[in-house]
Amino acid sequence: MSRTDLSRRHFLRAAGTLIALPALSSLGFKAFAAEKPVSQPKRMVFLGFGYGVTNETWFPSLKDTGADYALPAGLAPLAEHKKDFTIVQGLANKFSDEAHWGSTFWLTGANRYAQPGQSFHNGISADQVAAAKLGMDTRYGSIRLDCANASDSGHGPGSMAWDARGKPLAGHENPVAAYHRLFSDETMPLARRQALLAQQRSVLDAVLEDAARVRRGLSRADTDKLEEYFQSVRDIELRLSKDEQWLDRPKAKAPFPPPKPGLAGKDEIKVMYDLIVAALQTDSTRVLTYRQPVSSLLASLSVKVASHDMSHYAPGERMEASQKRDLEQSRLLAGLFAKLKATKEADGSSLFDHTTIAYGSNIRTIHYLDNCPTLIAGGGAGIRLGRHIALQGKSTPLCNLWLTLLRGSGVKVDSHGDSNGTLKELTA
Amino acid sequence: MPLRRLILLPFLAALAFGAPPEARIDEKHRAFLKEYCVECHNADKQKGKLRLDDIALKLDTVQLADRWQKILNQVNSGEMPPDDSKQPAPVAKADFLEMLSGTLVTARKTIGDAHGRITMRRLNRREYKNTLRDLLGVDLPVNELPADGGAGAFDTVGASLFMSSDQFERYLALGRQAIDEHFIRFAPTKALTIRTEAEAYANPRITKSYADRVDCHERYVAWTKAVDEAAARPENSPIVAALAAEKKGDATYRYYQWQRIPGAPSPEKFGYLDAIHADEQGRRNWVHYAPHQRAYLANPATKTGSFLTYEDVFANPYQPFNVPGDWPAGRYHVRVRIAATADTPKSRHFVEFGPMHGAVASTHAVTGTMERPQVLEIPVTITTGGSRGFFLRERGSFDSNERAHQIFGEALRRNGVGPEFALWIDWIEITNVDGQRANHKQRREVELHANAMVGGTYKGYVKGGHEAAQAFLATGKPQKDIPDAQAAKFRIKVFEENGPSFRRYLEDPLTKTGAYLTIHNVHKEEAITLPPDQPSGWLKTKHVTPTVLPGEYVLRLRIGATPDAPKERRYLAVGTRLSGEEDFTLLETREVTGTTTDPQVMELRVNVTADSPRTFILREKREVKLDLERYQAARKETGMGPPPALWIDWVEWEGPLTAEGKAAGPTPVLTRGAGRTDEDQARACLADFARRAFRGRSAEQPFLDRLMGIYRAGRQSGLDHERALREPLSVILASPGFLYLSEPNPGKGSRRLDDLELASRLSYFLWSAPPDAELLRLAEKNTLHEPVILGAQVDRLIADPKSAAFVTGFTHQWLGMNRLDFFQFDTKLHKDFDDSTKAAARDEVYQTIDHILRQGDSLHHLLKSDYVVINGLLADYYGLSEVSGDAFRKVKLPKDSPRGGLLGMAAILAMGSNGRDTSPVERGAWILRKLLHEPPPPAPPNVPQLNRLEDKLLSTRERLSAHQEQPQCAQCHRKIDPLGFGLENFNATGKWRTTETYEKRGVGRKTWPISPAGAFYKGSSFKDYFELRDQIAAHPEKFGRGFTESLVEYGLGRPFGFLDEPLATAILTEAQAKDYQMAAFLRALILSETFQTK
Repeated sequence: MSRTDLSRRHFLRAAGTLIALPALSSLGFKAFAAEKPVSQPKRMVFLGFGYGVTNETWFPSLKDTGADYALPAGLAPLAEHKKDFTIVQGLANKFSDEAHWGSTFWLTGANRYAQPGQSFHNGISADQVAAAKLGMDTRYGSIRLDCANASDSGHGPGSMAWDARGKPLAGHENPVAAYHRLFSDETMPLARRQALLAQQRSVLDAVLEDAARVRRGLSRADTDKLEEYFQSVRDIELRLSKDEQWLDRPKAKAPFPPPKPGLAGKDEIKVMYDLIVAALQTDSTRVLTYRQPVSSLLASLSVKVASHDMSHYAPGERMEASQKRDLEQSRLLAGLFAKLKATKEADGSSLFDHTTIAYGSNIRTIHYLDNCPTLIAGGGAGIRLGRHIALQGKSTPLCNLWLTLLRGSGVKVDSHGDSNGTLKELTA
Repeated sequence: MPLRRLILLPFLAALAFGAPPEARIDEKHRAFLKEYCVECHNADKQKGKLRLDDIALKLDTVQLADRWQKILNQVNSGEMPPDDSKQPAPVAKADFLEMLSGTLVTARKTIGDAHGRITMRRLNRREYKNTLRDLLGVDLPVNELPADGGAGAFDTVGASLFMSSDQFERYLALGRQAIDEHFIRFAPTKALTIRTEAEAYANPRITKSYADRVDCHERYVAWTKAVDEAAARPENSPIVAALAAEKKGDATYRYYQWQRIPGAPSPEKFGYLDAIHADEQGRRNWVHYAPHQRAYLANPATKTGSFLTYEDVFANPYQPFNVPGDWPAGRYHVRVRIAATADTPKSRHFVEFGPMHGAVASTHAVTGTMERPQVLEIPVTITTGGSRGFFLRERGSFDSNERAHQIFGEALRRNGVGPEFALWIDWIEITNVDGQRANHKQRREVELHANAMVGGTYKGYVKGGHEAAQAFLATGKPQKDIPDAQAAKFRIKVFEENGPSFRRYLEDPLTKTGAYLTIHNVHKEEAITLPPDQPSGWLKTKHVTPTVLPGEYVLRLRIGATPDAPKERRYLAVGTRLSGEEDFTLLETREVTGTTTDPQVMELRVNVTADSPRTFILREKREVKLDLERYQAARKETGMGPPPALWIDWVEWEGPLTAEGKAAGPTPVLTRGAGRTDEDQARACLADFARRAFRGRSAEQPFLDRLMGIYRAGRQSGLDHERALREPLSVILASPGFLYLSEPNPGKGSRRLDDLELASRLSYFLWSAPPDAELLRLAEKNTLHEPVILGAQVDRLIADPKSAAFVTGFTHQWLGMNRLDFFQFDTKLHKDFDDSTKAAARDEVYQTIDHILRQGDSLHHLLKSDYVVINGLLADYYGLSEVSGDAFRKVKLPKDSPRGGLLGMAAILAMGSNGRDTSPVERGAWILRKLLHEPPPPAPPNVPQLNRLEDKLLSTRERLSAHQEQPQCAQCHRKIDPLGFGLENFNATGKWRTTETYEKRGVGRKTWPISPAGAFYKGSSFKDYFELRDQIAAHPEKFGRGFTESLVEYGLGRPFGFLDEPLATAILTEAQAKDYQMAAFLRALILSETFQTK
């Protein structure tokens, strides 16, 4: 063992991180759809749109619950899938009080002010909790898709995905880049890639050497800050270890050619949805988040109203814009469902049967943060589908839903965010 | 002055006690709770598990603040008190809400206060970019790094600047790119180039092969002739007859059976092994290949190049070439001059490229023709020990032997020759990417392209379409592109509408020597294109170099305005284009002072990176969306589009500018010391670069050891000295010593910064860039902190052009100018607020602050002043005459002008709009936040929105009156809205108006006179904008206070905290003594103990 190896291990140990490398046996197969193990793996997809929905036309009537509820106009394009999704009303993140932050706390339920001495705090997001378990056997633990100028789309600062330390995780804003990350062939010969891995490791070793110098004598708060750097390096270490396991296996073949550059709005969302299906179909990852654009969606629908103005709709032009947005989002979502259903697993079941799709926003509509719009689809978490559920009150913790979905997908956790239980209504 | 007292009193009280203010609700508000809440929320009846009878009034913990937040939210949302219980009077409720939201803001601040702690931070995106620039002399786009700031903090606040693995990898990649570009710019290697003529390889081979074939065939013919002669002998007739009967119809059978014919000679005598060999070589191959090879050699194009062929290995199915063995590993460009023949199918016009004996690496479409071959450029990387031989071949020509044979055979049967020649190669050239760069210069007379394009469109589409349409109408027979009467009518209309504009253009004598820029149709834009880009598809420019390397380039053009062009049309907009016909990203707008009789030469510098745009579009400044409208309007009057205003004689580009040409550029990383080994030199170079990258701190030996390890690994893999250094150099740029501004402080208390730390804090504050040599020199001498020296340095830094980074970086965030980009302005309504005007309006804010800062002017000029800092474009926009030119300068205002100060600036006013209508709420809130330092609490969630008046024909003011009806709204809007109404004389894009018109689809349209009169909440009243401005300007101390707090946050990289109260007061006092001179604020902060303390 070379000196490099020794010191890296030493660092990882010293940093107090327990690295659970996936067992080789579990990595030996499952690489491709064709080599699927007998039971199909569970997948989770979180789709967040920033500025909520049109209150009047997106939600089913609160009195009209159960399986035979009337589908409201904003969801009409989803009619053919009505049996395969459930609408839940009455969920909210109780700590949310930023009226323009549609996804910063959506999956975390954290209290921005929880840490004295800090003006911003966040916790781990549900997708990352899922990734820690479901992502062990795939090339990518999770894939995060994003849009440009997210705050213009009502998303709030940071990301939709937050790591265990409450730090934002960046995503791919560009469908072309995401495509290449997922599918582009390695043109480099194996030996060269191995050499590159070794080189990357020596790069990490080098920067850590300097990090040790910088860390000396730092105050506690600064040590914490620098810890982000160490964590970043550690994350790459983990990824390299994973890369090494996957080194001799080519990336999955993309089911379609690379998207055109420069797509925006609805075309962009559509191609991102296609990428989601492709990523699941090839088992490149089992957990995805997508922070969807709203601003460019409106532009692609030739809507002249700016996104923030649209979110403050009132009857007339702005409300029409808001409704157009709802319809197009529903249409796109219906497309995603159709694709997931059409994609078959080895055993003849569909991808849709093993995937949970959570679709929603931390903003209900306008400036309202209660009753977050929530649509759950797919058979991944054992949710009873095809229903409209109106929970008691307006503020059952949204995290109860995430907890329910996580457990349903085989992720064993006791709680998530501010959860105080699971949603029995969903499984009953 | 009631307004003033309200703000200052609590602040003074806090100062007196020297402690953070308490977030405490006054006892008197218990009465409100008791009256409206306690009935349900008491010890016995804890509805919603909430007791309000004994709730603590001091909000000093997260839990208590959360509980009160919940109360606030419930009252705000109108859920509490419930409808069926007693309701507070509106004013009492608004007062209670105002008090509670204010207390909560204080509580959140107090609890979240960092107690003066400055969290170590990494370089933000702006600083990172500037630091690479100063360190390496390269200017990279860094948009792929995440945007900084967010959650309301400045982008210098360490606690809000995160790091992630993705980001770390981007730093690695960007660092690598920066180092590579640095080497291209500063340490050019010897240029290596080699060109191989394709025919030099192919022709000797095929000539020899054909000669061999002729020889083989001749020998075969001679042998078979001898066999035939033996067979013709009478005594041999029985055996000949027997042979003919054995294989009927096979004329060659007798030669295979030559041994059975007495007297027939052996093929060995003719140089063949046996009959099989002879038949194969002398006949079958002859039939198969000879026509193909003859055709190849007879084709005149094979004198100067070679065709790629199929199957026939002696022709040229496989054009090989080599990178010479003594060339270093590295990146090369392979350029192939190649063409596709006209009579072959498009599907064959693809060439495959790959390493010799390896798989195809890439396939390229061939669009060049035999008349006009193209130069195909393929990048390759040569690694040590890797392949140096490469091939080119026609797509699919060698997928397998069988397939190639089959294709050849099919063609042979069809035409008796073999596959038609589809691809022709003239030469193959290899150059090293980073070779010594030549400075290129190329001028283009624009009329060549322009006339081809305009004339071609006119002749082909406009006039040609018209003629075809007439022919259709006369004969009733479909013509090209005119299948029916509808199409004919359309083309006639096109001709009638546009023909005159085209003819006017083509007949104008000035289009013989240059090109006009028109509106909408005819010739809307010109372009300066750096290779390989082309200005249009109409004509190809022969570039002086196939492609340009990254670097700085000069664009020049000779331009003039027509004599009749009005002033507002004498502006040129220059933008970049990446793709598509409409793509246009505005770079800058220039005033055109030259005329068509006396044109000017305009020059601008652009930075080109490996992947940045190379097409620069020149247009008349205008709102393109209005083109059609303007065109039609002019056509109605004159039958033609608007007359062109700008004329261009020629365009030119030059570059890349050499590093030596730049003043005070950074030191090249690689400076080779004499008489040292590579290893010594590498180590010295790395140590030196690390010290510069770490802003004066030395790297430690273990780190350098690691870097040397990477260097050695590179050498072992075959890289040369310089290339092996690039990797460890870029690693330095991803190290914490570079990325973080660290200031160790192990102790409990605070400590003074050392001079190196101070140098960084100072230069990142005023330059958003690393300390320069002088700062570092003073720091090393340990004299920087001496007040006299430090003061002088502050002045020097402010005077340096680099302080523009402070002006834009700080101002943008301080004044919340990102709002200017929140929406598209409706240019149908606001015709002259095009992108150029918007950019100039934004610049006005920066230029004004820049002026105030550098000229030693007072901050209160931002509230009101008798001058503006504008350029010619904005002077037009504001209706101020006598100003022209692109440079911003101070212009004295007429006495009654509403301009002068932030409130009169188009950008600030436009930010207070939605792009179409004014937003008095945004404007009012902005005044409270930025000018009066009385920020309203953040917009609360779950407050019912009032749309009741939305559809009515009401003035903005009347419509917003709904805000006063509900106490939840009134608590804030009673302060905000009146100030916004005071600015209603400015429309959404900051133009002065005296009436307002509201139009609603299906409802109607109405116009009102503006009524700007109003009053500060619980304060003085104003009758119009001018009085409002005067009253705001009367409080420079409030404005100064807000400015100070922002400055402290930006400069120290942490939120303004309660412990900073004395600091803020000290800064303000000092600035006040200098009449609020802006520079005095900066100096006071920098010279303060806080700034020099960790």
